[in-house]
Amino acid sequence: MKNTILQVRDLSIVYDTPFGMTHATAGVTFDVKRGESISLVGESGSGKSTVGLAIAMALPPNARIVNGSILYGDVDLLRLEEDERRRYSGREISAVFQDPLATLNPLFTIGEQMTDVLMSNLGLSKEEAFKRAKEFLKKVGLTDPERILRSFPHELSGGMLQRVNIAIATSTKPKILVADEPTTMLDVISQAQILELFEELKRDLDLALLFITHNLGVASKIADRIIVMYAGTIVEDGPVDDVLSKPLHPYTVGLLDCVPRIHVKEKRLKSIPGFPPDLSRPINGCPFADRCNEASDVCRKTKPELIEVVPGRRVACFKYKR
Amino acid sequence: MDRSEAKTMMSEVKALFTLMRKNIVAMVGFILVVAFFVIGIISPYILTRPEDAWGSTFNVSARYLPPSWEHPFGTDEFGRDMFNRVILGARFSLIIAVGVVGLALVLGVPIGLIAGYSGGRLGTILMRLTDMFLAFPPLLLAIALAATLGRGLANAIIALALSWWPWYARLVYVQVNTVKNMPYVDAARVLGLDSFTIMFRHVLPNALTPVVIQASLDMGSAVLEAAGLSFLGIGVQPPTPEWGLLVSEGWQSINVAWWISFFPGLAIVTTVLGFNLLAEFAREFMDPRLRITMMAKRWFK
Repeated sequence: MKNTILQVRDLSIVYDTPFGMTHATAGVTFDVKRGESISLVGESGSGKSTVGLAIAMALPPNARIVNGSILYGDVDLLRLEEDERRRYSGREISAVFQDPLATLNPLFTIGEQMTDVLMSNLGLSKEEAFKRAKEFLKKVGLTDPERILRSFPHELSGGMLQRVNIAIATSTKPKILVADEPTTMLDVISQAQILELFEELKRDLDLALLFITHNLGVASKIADRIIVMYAGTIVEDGPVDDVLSKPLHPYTVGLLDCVPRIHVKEKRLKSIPGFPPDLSRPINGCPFADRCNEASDVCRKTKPELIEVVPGRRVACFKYKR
Repeated sequence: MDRSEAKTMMSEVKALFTLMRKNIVAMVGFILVVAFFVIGIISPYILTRPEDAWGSTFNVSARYLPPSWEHPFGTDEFGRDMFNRVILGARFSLIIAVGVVGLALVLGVPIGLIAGYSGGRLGTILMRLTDMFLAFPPLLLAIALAATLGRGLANAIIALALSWWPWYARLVYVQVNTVKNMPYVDAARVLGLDSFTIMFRHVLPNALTPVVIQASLDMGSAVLEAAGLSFLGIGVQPPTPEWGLLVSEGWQSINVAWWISFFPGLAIVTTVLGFNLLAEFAREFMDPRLRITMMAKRWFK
């Protein structure tokens, strides 16, 4: 496909911990098309952030790549040397993280930090960098860019800071933006505004957006496509409307059932019984088998492959045939 | 953008003075330290009896004179004016304080930074080397080094700095290890900044606050330890009017002429006190977040 800009292939990453290995992702495969926005959805420990960090080339030092590749064009991002990596980090692939305050250096003004990135990535002069910084602060909806540039991070509110982070990440005009739960720490109003902002930027800058979230509401608002992850594997992948209205995988069904509905009276919130599997051991069968009420013997013994059931919709469950 | 930079500088200086004016302890520390630096720098040019100060005279008729208008700090056993000698002594103590702490920082900070940032085998080797130095009691190490290197001002400074840098290396190492896992360091890497910028813009400045405080405290300790070396006879040599040496020269006649040891001792105490008071303030000033809360607290009082 000529429109594909990023190919994640069979990505398996483990974390080395003092207590042994944790299998964070196991054989994750998907493509990102130009200008597409994808939501990676899953609960804590599903490996969604690991996938995001791997694409942003920001895996922590104890992460080990067991298998797989992330192809950006012909380049495997997982096997770049440090100085090669810098040609892609920031310029081609950028990222926004969860905590807007912690991701900014407390000792320097926003202006200094923005121009640092612009000067180092694009080789702009100081004047040009300031001009560009101002332009992007306006683009993300901050009305007084002059003041923002002179401010220290602690002087701005969370919503403003996340806008600043988005401005920094997009000011180099990257092709791909990884957003790792960028609205989780914001209040609902700011959340809605930030989501709108992402949509705008995506349109204006032709960004492919990889939006990582555990919030299905957020995912449905921002994404063209949803990828549901469970225990380090993709269980379902498809266009947003299809996945939300006709979920195929029992896990997705369960997940959607847990979303409280405003017009249905319920005494208790629903939840999926049981716990996610222990990731320190390799899983033989379907990772969801223990919690699935449709599971059969084959589910516990062999791992279901992610198959394309209809064009554009993939699911990893024995219930479905190619 | 030079104008805006100048403006930021000005606002920094203004913030410094706003805070200082409202903090009497910091003010006192600041004044003491500034006085120490100023006197240390200009002392050779303001002496009323330079030949007494440098110690080349012997005036039998003026021996052991108590403090008076003519000799505010009295005179010593050679009839030299103690006031002039103490004033000139500030210069040597200043050279020692700045020299020792400066040299120790130059050695310790890069080692700690490299060890902490790169980690791995290089980090381990550098830190074990540091531990080797830390295994000796610092003053003992300094005495041994000073005795080996030979007497004199420069050797005393080198000896003290060599026994001192491991503390900075450790401190920086620990700080860098904390800071390098901060989200803003990860973010900087994701945004494509080079290691050099990350190290000097993100890691080092955020790791440096406790180092600066430690260094300003150590300025006082350096004066004290150099005085100790001189007192033991292995530091600066007479007739140089170094404060520690002046104290030790007056030691034998303390019963008849207390002023010979007292005034240089007072100078040491005052200087050390000044640095300690200022160090307290430095911590609050160096962190922009604390600075704001500090200013706010004073405004709303």
